[in-house]
Amino acid sequence: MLSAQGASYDNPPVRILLVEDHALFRSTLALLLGHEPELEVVAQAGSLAEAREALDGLFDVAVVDLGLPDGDGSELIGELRQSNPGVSVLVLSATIMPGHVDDVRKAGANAVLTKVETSLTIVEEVRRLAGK
Amino acid sequence: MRVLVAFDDTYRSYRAAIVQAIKYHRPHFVVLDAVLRELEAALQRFDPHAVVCSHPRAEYPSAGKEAWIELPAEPLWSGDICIGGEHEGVVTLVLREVLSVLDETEERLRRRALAQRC
Repeated sequence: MLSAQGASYDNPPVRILLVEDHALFRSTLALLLGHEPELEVVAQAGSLAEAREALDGLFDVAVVDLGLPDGDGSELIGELRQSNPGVSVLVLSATIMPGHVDDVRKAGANAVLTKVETSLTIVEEVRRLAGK
Repeated sequence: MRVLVAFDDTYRSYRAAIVQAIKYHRPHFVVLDAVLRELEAALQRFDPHAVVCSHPRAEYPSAGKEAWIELPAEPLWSGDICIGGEHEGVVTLVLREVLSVLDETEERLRRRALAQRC
């Protein structure tokens, strides 16, 4: 049997939290992720504060921008893991130095991509992290 | 209607996502993307009716298009919407609002109601 999103009840959709402060990019990426089979963006946030308000939700994958208006997105990773122990975290950043990649991974990110990558690569990485 | 989307390569993901989203919602538009360093040539070659760009129109001599949506990659920087020479300042836009600007441009093109170029 299929749900409205096209995922079966035995195979529920991957629940995605999208944290990105560029509103147009966030809304377009949410659209593209939402069109993928078995993926569903269940919460969006444009800042650390908004993301923290969403942390009582259940997520399988979180896509987190590093450069947020009220701080570094990597601050969110530990809090995400506390509220959603099984969550996979994909960090996005406009530019990131090699040393900072290590810091972000130590903070618990499963993958790091720069915004030089295409939106298709980001979607594929989300699918990979979700095991799809 | 022809639409050109231009962001610097540092933000290629923005460019690609915006192009895909416009194509999805407005399949009758012809949508191309360009890197900023090649924007001037793309403006001349493609002659778009509307441009969605991270930089201001004034930086490009061949601009002069029916609509120009300036939307900086830095989300808190102010941008500008120009349709037919009429400007409106903006800080953030979501996809729905960009589509609305493109629809208005298309409608005014159809009615030949664009007094000036941007």
